[in-house]
Amino acid sequence: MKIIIVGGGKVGYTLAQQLSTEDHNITIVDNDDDVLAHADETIDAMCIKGNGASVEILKTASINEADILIAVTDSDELNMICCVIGKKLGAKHTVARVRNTDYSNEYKMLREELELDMVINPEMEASAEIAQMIQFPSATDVETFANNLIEMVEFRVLSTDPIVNIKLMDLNKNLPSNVLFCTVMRNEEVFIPKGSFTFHPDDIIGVIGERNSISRFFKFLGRNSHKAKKVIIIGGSRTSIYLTWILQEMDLSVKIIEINKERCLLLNDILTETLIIHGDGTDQEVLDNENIESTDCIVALTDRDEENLISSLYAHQCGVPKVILKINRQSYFPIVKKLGLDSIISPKFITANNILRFVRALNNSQGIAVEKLYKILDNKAEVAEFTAKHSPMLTDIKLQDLNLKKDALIAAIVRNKNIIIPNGNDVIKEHDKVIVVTKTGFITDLNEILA
Amino acid sequence: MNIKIVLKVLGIVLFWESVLMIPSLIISIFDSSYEIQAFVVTIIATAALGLLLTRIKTNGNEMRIKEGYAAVSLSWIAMSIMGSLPFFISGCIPSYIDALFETVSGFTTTGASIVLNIESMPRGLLFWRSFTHWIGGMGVLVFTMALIPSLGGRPVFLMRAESPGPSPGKLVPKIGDSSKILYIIYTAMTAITIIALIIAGMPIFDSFIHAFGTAGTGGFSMKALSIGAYNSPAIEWIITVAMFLFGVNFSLYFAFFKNSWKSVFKNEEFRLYCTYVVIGVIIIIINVLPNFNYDFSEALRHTAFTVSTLVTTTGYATTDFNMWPMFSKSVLLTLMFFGACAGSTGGGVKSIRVLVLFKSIYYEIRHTIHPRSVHRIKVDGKSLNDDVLKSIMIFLLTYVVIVIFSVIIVSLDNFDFLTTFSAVIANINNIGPGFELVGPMGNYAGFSNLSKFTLITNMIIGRLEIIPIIILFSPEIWKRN
Repeated sequence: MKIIIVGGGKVGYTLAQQLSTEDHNITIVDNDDDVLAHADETIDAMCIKGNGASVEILKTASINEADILIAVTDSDELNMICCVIGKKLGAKHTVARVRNTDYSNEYKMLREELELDMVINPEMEASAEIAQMIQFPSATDVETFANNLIEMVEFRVLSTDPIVNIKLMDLNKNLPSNVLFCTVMRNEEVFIPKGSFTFHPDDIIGVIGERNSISRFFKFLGRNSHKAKKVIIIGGSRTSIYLTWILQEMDLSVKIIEINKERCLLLNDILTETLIIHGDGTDQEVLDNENIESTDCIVALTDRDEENLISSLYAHQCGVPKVILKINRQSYFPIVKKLGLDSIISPKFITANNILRFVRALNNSQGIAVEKLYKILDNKAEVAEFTAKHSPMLTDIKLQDLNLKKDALIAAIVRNKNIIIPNGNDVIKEHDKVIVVTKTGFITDLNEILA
Repeated sequence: MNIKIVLKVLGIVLFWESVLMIPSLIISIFDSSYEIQAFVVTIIATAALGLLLTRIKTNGNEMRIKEGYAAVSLSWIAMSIMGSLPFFISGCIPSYIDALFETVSGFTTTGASIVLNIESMPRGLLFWRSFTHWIGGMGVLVFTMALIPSLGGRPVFLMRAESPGPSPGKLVPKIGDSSKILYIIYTAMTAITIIALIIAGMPIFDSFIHAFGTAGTGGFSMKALSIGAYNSPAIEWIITVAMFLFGVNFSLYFAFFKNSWKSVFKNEEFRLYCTYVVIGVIIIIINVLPNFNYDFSEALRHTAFTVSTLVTTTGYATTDFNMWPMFSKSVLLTLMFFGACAGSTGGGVKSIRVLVLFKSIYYEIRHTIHPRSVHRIKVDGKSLNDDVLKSIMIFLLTYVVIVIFSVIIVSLDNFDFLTTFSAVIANINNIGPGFELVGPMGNYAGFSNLSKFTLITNMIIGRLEIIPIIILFSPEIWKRN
């Protein structure tokens, strides 16, 4: 695919490097000579100097032939304008990084009115990932679909779990919340479970649903015994704000320690319910005062890697069960892991990874009717997103009356931003977004799920 | 420097060189001439050496700038050493240094020859001799990159080291695709030249030979009288135009076909190139009219051909311009320095550098008059970054230094000054013929081995634009890291 990346900072560079090795044609646009020189020497990509929101520069980059335009400069506004102009000039898909909290509630508007295909907010993505780490400590992997509305959590079945050796059709009646079992990985083989399937210990199961439903499901499994209730966040960055919002929605108690007085006041304006503490997060006395030993989880999110490391090490030493820290410099990762801290968050890395995932999903779906195609479970299964078109064989028919293929499963339906985890009585309507889980290489069109 | 990566690149280049020798072998077999054995031995030896070197494991190390530059210059040296074997083994050129001179002259598209009796050379060797022009014109590493894009890590350095011009750019994001596009344009233009020459009445084999010489801006002919031997104005005009076109930056052809033909005529380098060609033709024609008995059309034809051949550093001849007045010769000598555009197959200092030089002089004068004026040199409306500017100036200075030292060494042979000086200029600019003894009807056979070796070095330095070769003499590069 032809991809134009505007902004050659850390995210842009990581993306360009990765995508060029995946055989895409990359063009990097940036204003800085040094950035371009470095990119030109190390990446097989075209480098253009200039303002990415200028029509002339975008035309030089052959925007009319571009499959994806990714705007990841430091400025939100520039990114948005760049994508709007790019779309008008013929780019097929646009991705913008928008990180300012002021815009965080306007993503729907941005996506619809500015026709952005993906709006990515590094701090928000990072906070979502941290929330997942706190919420599903036993999950082996968490994937999100349909613009982060739906999650799929993979976990290993234990012999003590109440779902073992029960037929799936009986199990479904007893579930506390609306989740769906989508995939089972047993001895390196992937199954799409249907009514008569029973789970064994050591299977790796994927369940799909909304975040809260999955959370309730885990509670039902009894996996939440060591789930965090009290969280201390060190550093009042944007990530902290997003994280606090998510955690409070999950009914956790959150404290934020921030060193800058003015920032504390600002935090207090935004997070009126949260306890904000003015103090130095690396100061052990401050931490002790806040009862660090009885805290379930510490998240170190200051802007300085070294401070995060010191706070985390102290928390780890005090026996805090879950310690999560933000590290920007990738070269620190091995050192930090060696110290016993393995929950590391790097917002830029996450951003790059999520955009990569989006690009790959688009690339996988080229030439077929799928909108996005995600490969999961070591590429052994696929999650495909379709928009349903009118079809007498499929739409407005109860799912239990549809004759589906054996290895296909309708995992979720998104109708007007509402999630439906379908049971037999639901129907697919025209314009619904349908999420289908299948084994790899199975379907290329929604109608193909019918036997 | 990581020598393993360099050797691996060398292996790939040698392997492809052996493949590229096969057409010449086929012609020899067709003629059942005496050089078949020489070709067979060379092809097997080169291919074996190449395959052996490609088996080297690089342990995943990446190519960096010094490996890239060293790989290019060593490839050119290795290629020349192997490429000279057919001439030497067959006995056609009995002295090895002469065979090497002829081959380096071929690959660097110089066209300077030491062969005294060219018309008796068998066709297989003639074909190889001219084919080296075609290979060397666009560059053998660019060729290998078009075929195997993943030449280890960061191939952009290979392209930079081999392509002429201060900052060769890519046409499209992928370097492999860029190389392919360059070779497609190059091959298509060569094919058109061949067809035009055949239509104009040149024998088919001769058309190939001269089209290769024209495309690579080399200048090896199979006739002692060069193009003049055909005595055909049509052929002379075709080659005049073709040489001029091969001296244009190839990225302009890409821009031309892609959409923006207007931008081609706005390109400052191209405009300067056209300007000095036209001015050169006009002032020489006034000066040489008496030599042609005031026959304007003949004077125009010969002048246009000579200006085109020298400015693009090809080196064909239709007439012995050594007989022209001194003023014309001085103008021609200046044009030899200027050379063709960057990103073309031509040699010389390159139009873009001349452009930047002139602009620097202009702004320096202005700066002296208005000491507080601020100005950055711009080309095509874009500011030149200081590093590029500095590298152009260093290039020009180093170039002058190398010319001076080479003239001193060659002058040991005690020829007249114009012969000595123009020999060095003709070789470092990859032109071929100079003036007096080395004029278009002359030859390099009379030089001593030391001078020949100096000129060989000059040719490679000129073709690879100094830095990649100079880098080999830095002891640091040979240290293991």
